[in-house]
Amino acid sequence: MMRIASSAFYQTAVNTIDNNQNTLAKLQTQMSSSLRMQTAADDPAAAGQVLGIDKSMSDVSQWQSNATALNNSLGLEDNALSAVTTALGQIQTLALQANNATLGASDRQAIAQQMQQQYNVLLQQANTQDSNGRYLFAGTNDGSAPFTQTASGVSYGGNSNLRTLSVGPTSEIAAGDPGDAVFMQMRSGDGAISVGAASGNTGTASLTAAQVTDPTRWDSAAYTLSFSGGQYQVTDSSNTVISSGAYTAGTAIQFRGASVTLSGTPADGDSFSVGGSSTQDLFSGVQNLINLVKSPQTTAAQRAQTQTAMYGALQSLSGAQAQILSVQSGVGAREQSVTATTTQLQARATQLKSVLSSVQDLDFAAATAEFSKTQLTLQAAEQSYVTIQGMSLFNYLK
Amino acid sequence: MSDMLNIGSSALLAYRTALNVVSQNIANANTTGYSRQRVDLQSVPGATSPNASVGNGVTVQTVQRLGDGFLQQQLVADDSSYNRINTFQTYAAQADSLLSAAHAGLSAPLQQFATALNGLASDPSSSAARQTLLSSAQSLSGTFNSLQQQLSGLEDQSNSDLSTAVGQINTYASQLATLNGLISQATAQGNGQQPNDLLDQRDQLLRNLGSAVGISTTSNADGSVNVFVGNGQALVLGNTANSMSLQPDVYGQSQDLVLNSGSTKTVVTNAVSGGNVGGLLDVRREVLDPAMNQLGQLATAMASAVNAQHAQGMDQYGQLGGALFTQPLPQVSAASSNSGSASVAASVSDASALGTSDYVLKFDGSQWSLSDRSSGATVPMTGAGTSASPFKAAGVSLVVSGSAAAGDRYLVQPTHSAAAQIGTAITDVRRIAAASPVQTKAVAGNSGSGTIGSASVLDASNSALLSTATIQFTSASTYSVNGAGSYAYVSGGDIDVNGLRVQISGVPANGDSFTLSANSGSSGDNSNAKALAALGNAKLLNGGTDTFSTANASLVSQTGAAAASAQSQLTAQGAIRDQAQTSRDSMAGVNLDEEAADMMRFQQAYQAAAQVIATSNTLFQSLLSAVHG
Repeated sequence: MMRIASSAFYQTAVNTIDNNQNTLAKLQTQMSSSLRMQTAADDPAAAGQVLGIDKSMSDVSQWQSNATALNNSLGLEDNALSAVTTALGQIQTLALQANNATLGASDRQAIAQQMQQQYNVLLQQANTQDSNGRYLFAGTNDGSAPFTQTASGVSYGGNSNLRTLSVGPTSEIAAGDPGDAVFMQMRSGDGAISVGAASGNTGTASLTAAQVTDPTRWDSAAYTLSFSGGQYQVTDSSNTVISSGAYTAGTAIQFRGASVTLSGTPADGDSFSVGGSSTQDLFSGVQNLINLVKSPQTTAAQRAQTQTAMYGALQSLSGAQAQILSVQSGVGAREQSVTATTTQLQARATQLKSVLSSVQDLDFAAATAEFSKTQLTLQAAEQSYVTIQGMSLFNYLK
Repeated sequence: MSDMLNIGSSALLAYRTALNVVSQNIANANTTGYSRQRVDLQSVPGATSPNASVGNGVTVQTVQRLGDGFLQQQLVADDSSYNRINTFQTYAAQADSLLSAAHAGLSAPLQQFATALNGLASDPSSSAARQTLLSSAQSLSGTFNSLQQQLSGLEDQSNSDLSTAVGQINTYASQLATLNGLISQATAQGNGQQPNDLLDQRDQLLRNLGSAVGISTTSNADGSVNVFVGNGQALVLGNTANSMSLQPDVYGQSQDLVLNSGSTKTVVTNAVSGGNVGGLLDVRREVLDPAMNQLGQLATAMASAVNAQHAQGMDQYGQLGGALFTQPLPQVSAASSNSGSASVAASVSDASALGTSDYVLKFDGSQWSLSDRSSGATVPMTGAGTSASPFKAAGVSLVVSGSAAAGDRYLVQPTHSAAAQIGTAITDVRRIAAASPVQTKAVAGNSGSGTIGSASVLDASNSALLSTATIQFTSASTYSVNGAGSYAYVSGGDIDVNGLRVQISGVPANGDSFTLSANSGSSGDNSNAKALAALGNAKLLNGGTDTFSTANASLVSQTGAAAASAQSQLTAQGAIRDQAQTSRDSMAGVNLDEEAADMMRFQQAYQAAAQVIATSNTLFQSLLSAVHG
């Protein structure tokens, strides 16, 4: 049997009470913070894990805020492009309205004025600013207005660069489209062929259709279609005749994969140039159309020339509309992808939160049980200490 | 009757002594280190007579001290271990809470910095976003500074604790030497009787000494003990005591523990273990220094990577970015024993190769060699040590100038103080380089469908970086650069020009051209901001295995693990120490109930002995009255 020294007895009792109080204090801190760990020492591995999860959560919230920013700027671009499409539609309607033989010169002037207003709308939309005053269609050179009207047309002062934002570890989405790709690279005519009447034409022949029927044979080179005595001939740039025949109004003239249909009667010596389409900007295309509407149509020959030019200009306009729509549908696709990503990020954030909670949060049921148990032990230790310390043989030596 | 009187009075004397011993026990029931004492009584033999032999009373043979040398030694050793881990735990817990407690440590500022970079990427020309980035960079470098300051504050505290402990050791050692003298004197004069209370005091001094530093002891025949520390360096020999002191180590970087024996000084820093001193030295070696090195590694890698990327961007003044953070440099300290005149300059050559060790660069008369300071392992170096071809090892490059003598040593600490050196180098938000330095543009009137992407920087130091370059298509499948050369066009292929790389894709037509030109300060380009933000997820540390965030996590969990292990060792060591104390007390401690019983026993015996004297007196009176009649 072991002797117990009186001092050891007190010491042991005090130690036990100390330990229990320590446990209670720790449990109390855990419960009041609802966190299982106060410092990394409480669970070093989990502490490392928590930092990793924190990092992932902060990444996710960054991607979420990027998605919001993207939504804003893409929405803004979408609106601007819609306004452009509307204006182009108006211009097209007005141009068709003007292209009517019964209208007088003053009516056409009035229409041209309305078209000019729509032109200004176009320019204004192309210089749209976001809420921070940055220009939407300037590439990354967005501190100043990218499109400026000069005597020779509209010039682009932006660049071809894009601002992209990350919405995931490897996915980046462009926040806009550079203005040159949207407004400056339109194709004339239908995009493949363009036909122009020579300015000295005196006949009434005008273009009713021009198209490429065989793209593999069409080489976009410059050809001249000329008339003489009811016959036509097509020459290439070195003046070699490559096709000729009798001219019949409304019948297609075909050569090198191209098909050109004229109506009316050409005078001898009248000619048309046929070539590949060229690149022009949206504004000069529209300005061209307006100029055509304004142009005098007093003689049949003038009217025929205007008709030919109008055919190409209207085709260009449709091309421009298609181009804007295609940019806009690209924007729509990106908006959809941002929305889809937002949903995924939301789910990811929720999942990370639950993982974080399972790693660092306190199991309240277990902690409460542990707390009661320790409390009971502490009370017992205190009570037994008081009882035993009162027991001494000296009490009986009286 | 005189026999009876003699016997009675010998008993009275003996029980008086016994009661004195009981009183002494009771009086010292709560004296630390007191060992209970017990009276050993012995009967006094009488003169032999033919018929019967009656003894001649009782005498106190000795007052025995009930101590157990083994249990006592065990207690000294356990005390020593307990105090070591107790000190260790106190410091480790502080370091842990510095790095990992809520709102402390690097993780929050690291994240804020990443968030601010991202905010800049989404709105690169906003001065609010720029201000946020600048503030978060300042808060990040400030946190590095303050963590380093607090960790070195702990190191300073440990040095001051060390100095206190050394003072205590010296006091205890000289007290022990004095006691040793008294004990050997008392033993010589005591006629075989032990100087019990002196022995108790000595045991208590040994415990105090053991608590301060790990010791081993040997006993001498005269009752004195010798005390040794470290690898058998004598601290106390009989009645002479040596002393300990602190002095700066050979590199002037930390405090060395020295044992002074006469004029001989022995450095025992790495030899001592146990006790407060052992705990302080261990926590410095195992927790504080590694934590500072790791923190510095992170600061250095962060500054290197961020600065390198920042230099590839353009600020709002239209200039290439400067350093965003001040770049910390490795520290080199020459040994005070060096006799040569060489000096060593160090810089970071590859932050991803930086480790957390300190190194010693040594010259043997013909060759320089590098070794790991703690393990002593040789670290291979490349280069010749000249500025044209510096020594390179572990991400550090070293340039030696001047002439070294054989045996000269230099301590190279690549990252130890880096977290104190890092700072934010810019104060003007317009100096933040968020944009790519170059913009690209398709020349108006291009007839093909070719598009040009953004340019990326390959070499920011290229002198022609900001010059305008033109890529012109000389046919549908070939292009020239600035009017020279003819290169085959591949859609989406890399085109490198003026230290830049750009891609053209689609179908450009003959005659189409694209330009690269300097960006303007007002650019809304975010490519460099994005590249800076992407550093947060790049594996740039420890040979490409860790990101900033995982390196911080490993610092936090390593320090946390050290603190956790110290805590559990402390609990275990506490239980072991309590157990040893209980064992020692069960042998040597005073039990008051036992003493009460002894007191009653000896009181009764004393009363009985008094009765013997009274009886003897009665008998004598009866005899006297019989004689007088």
